[in-house]
Amino acid sequence: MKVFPLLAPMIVGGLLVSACYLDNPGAAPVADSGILRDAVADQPLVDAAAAPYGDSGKPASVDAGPPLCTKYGGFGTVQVVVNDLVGALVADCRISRFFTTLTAERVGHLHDCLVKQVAVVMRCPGIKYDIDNAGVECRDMKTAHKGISIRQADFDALVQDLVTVLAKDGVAQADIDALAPSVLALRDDIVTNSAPDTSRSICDAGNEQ
Amino acid sequence: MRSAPKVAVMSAFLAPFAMWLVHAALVRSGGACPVREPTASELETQRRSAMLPLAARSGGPAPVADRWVGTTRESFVRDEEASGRHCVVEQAGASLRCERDRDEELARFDDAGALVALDRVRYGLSASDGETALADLLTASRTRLGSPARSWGEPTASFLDRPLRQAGFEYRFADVAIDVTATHMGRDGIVVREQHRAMPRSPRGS
Repeated sequence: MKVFPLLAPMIVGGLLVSACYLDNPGAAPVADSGILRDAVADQPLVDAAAAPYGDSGKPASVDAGPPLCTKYGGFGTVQVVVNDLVGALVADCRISRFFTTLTAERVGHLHDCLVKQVAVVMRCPGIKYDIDNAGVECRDMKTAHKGISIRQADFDALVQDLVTVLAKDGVAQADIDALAPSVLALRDDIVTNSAPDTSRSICDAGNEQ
Repeated sequence: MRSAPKVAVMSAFLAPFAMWLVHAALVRSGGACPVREPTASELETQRRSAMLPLAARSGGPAPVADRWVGTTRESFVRDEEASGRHCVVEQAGASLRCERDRDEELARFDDAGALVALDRVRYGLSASDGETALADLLTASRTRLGSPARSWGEPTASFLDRPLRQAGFEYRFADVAIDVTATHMGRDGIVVREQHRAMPRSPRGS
């Protein structure tokens, strides 16, 4: 009884602060929570590469004509394109900082989910945007990028790299044109930092969601 | 005993503040960040590693030294200020971002202070301005470096005037990789980008 008056307010205060963190995983004080681990694994902008999302939150495919997957040589081609894209992103000094400190596990998750996203967009048979090769969920763009301070210029850099890779890997201009609305529409889900420079730290997106 | 209620009231007010202090300390230590901010050294190590695939496909050195790569941080800042650009330090000191109007430059330096990568970007251009800018850059590059190793898209306003259209060209030398693109970014117009990147030298040479 004597101790309770001292502890109760501390417990209530702690719960209030914790509730705040749960609502904003990017500001959570524990770095290795499951939420944060997923956020990091999913975070790179690369998911924007070919992951147009409809209202369902799932990647939408380009439906016109025969499957692009078949046209360009199947699932193996998707993997080549994604490998090239990831290589271009880490060599791009404007946005490489988002990838520099990722662990091999997180890079693997990013790669696996991105391959599936592109494969779904290209309508590869039997491929779903669901989990990576380790069974970890691949998340939608808004969730995956929440809390990460991504500028408009960062998104632009990724899209420029993406188009360069698509052109370099032989994707026809008409097919790139068909992807444009979906790719550019991802901007609002991914860009969380309206600051013109990178004065904010990577994970300080504040409330600009 | 009588002071217990006072202590309880004080605790009620102070507990959240105390936890905020703990949180702030964790943020400063990097513990709260889902993606750790890399150090300058980590960025340079990653840059060198990422450039290796490009270096493997490159030929001899550029016929003339790249006008950007290899200059020092001091001379770069001097030149930028002379041209009216304001520079700020970014990326744990590894980079400088310099801006003037719609022009932006991001310069990356190695541990010795030498410029190892430079991105020059012009935002919000019309298709015709994008065509002109690309043509000017191609002409200047041809004069100095010869024909590009590869080009793609059509460097015309009519081609560029549609979202996600891109025209560009690239040079690959043993000492530098240069990429120039004009990309239609939808509502943001055409973005013209020059990318100059130093190739990683061999362990003996670096």
